[in-house]
Amino acid sequence: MKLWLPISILLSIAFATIFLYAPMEKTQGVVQKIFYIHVSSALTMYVGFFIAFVSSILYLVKRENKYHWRSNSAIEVGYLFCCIVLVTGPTWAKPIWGDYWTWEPRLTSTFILWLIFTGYLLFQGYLKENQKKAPVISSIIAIIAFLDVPLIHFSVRLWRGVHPTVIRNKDGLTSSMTVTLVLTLVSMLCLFAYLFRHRLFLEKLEQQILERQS
Amino acid sequence: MLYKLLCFFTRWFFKNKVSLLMVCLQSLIILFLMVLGFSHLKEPTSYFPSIFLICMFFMGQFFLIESHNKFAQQKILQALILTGASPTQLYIALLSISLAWVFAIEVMLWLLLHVFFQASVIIFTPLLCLIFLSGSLSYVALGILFYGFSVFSRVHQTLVMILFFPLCIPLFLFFHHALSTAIEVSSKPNVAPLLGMNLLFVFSAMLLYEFVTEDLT
Repeated sequence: MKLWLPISILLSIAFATIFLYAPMEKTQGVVQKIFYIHVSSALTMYVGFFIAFVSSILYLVKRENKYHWRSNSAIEVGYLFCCIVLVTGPTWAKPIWGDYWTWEPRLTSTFILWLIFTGYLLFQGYLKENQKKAPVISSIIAIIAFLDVPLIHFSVRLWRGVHPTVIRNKDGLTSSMTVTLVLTLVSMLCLFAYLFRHRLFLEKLEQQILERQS
Repeated sequence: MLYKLLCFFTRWFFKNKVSLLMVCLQSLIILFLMVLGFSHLKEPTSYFPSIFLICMFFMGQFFLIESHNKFAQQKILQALILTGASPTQLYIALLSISLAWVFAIEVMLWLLLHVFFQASVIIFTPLLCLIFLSGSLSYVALGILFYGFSVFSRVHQTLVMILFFPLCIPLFLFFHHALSTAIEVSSKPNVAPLLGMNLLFVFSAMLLYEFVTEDLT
């Protein structure tokens, strides 16, 4: 069964819920709708990087290629969601804060995370020629990069932040907003799973081609 | 074995001191440019942590690149692994000596900063030394790990720098915060985040170094 169809339907329902069911925020208006995509993409990004972290440890312990492929695929798809966060964030910030970008803790930490995984992907390209060592080095970088995530978060806290924290705030979201957010998150996670599965398939295919060539 | 490795690296660094010092002193050019840019400021002391960290970042990079290039040329790490040194021992010895080297250069840079900016009082306390050491430990620990595997890829030095810099940002933020508070007489610096970071990175890098050196035998 083609998986893209149910995922497309789920995404369409999520988008319909955002624009038709979720209430209009009083002060921000329609711009606030970006919130649902922005937050669910950020959470999906963390899921992706966490999968990469666990898979990298498993690769170093078990030395089975499937774990390296999983780590690599999770980082690539997680990076895509990181890009979505970095695009939707400034789009939302411009009408609300008056600027696309401020050096605010949460924004800065996401940007640093994006820089780290950009470095990872660049390095990955140059490692491909060293077939034997590449998975080990990629795993090491993925582990260190993930360990750096909480540190980035705490270090940038040294600055004063203006980024809202609605999820941990009791009065932050109404029930209909929560339902919309959960639905968007589920659809984003399904999209992640689909892309991850597809990327994993491509990774295996690439490996088969390389094996046949050699 | 660890003692022998420490002796070996001390001797090796002493033997290669000229080339290693030369690359580290390249950071003086950056310091000089900073002096040109910031000498007009009325209170340059408040800018010392930022200027110092920029110089320290480049100094550390030059040092790590040069030392690892020499290790690769002379096949030092392979030889030591073949003599029976474990990767952990090798890592601890290399970390200790590199940290001592970086610390010495940092002290020199810090004092030169005062001289170049004609500071009226030289700020140099034992607490500052502790901050230098704890700030450099994670940097050197990660640097040894990253430059250890950089030999396996093309254009490695540039790429490692691109990868290494964002990873070091939290370290530099904590380091900067600790330095800024240390040079103010009234406030107490918070070294705890730096020490926590050291614990995490030194331990994880030591564990992962085994995988970097596994092909050297």
